[in-house]
Amino acid sequence: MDEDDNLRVQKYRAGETESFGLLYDKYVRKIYRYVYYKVFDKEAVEDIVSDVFLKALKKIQSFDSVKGSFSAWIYRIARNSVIDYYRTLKQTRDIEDIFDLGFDERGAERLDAEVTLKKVSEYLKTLSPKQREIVVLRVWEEMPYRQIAEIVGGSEESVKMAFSRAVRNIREKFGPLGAVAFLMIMG
Amino acid sequence: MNNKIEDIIKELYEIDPTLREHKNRLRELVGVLLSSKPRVLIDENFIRKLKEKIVVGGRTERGNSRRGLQSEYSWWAFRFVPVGALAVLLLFVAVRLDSPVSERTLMDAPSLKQDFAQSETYSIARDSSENQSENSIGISTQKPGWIAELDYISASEAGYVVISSSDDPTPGNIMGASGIITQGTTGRTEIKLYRAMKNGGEYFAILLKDDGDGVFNFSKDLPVTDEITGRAVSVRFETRRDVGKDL
Repeated sequence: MDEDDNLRVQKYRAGETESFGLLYDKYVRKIYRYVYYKVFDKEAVEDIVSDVFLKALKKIQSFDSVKGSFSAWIYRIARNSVIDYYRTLKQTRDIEDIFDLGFDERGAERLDAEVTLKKVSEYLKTLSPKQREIVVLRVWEEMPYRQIAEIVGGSEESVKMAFSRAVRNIREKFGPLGAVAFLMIMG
Repeated sequence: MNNKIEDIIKELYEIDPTLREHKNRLRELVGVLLSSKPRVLIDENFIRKLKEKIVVGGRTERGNSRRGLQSEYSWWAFRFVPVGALAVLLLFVAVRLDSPVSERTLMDAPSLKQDFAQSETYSIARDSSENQSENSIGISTQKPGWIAELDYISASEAGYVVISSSDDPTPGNIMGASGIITQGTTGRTEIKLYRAMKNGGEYFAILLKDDGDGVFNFSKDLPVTDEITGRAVSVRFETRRDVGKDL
């Protein structure tokens, strides 16, 4: 538990409006990246991030630090907002499988980043949506397993196991040549 | 990045020791995953503007929370309206048994009585884009239900807006009250009602002045009267199920 976050929530509730601003400063870029990895569209990301923090502000009275950290709470809001976004788009695909949408249909050509994710997306697409989210949160966001578990659901141990299975799946699927070829592409 | 690769590999070994058999391939794979992390360019202008919006929203949200508490108090208070009204009615009848009938019909909402007793007609809700006077309420035809939505409230002093039923041609029982409204113009405001408005009904939105304690009390917070007409600042409005469909 991040006691600083809990303290800021308490202060906000007690009338210190600026305390929410501090929480915003701490999390806005993290949430931005998290949403970006799922949506890959700058305008959509900004809409969703705005929605996340306005919802957080509205619901902050219902945040219960006993049930989990503020961090996990706001990531869950972001996760649900992304699902809502794809619902709104009326995508015909399984909304749980949103990672595919990000890479396949709205992905590489829209990226501001210089790297091409096409090959990595092939790796990650062999994983279940939950495994992918765990890999992204652990490897790209460097998030602790406990916190990932709070966001995606399940225990810390189950998240660790899912992560190791994901890595094993990729290795078995593509073997050493796949990884080496990819490294050359990335060169 | 090498340290990160080693950290993740170490974790993986702890979770699944058999992965040690594929040490080199594992290192390559984790390296690929790490190096392919998208470089997300965050628009700092967006971050700054959103923060401004959030901070303003935070102030508003806190205000609404206070109003929410206020409304809860109001709901509690309203439970006792019939009892209080009956007590006042008995007292009033005992003291002024010979009073005109028109004065006795307003006892359900005693604080409103004196101001509405002189009023003969009330305006039906109009387009709220009309000029806003210093003390005025904007409310259009409403959908039946538990919420009345005001377009604006303009008040020269802090106060409340109450929604009441219509005891034609005067207001009847209070059905709900806003939280405290500060001096000036307040935008769109929802008032939760403790009794639902029915389709095809007529109701009143009435501006009251806070007596200074910041707590709504229907017997102390009196209607605001118009300086020119001397009448209570109020709007009579209707409810219609199909409101908005013809727009």
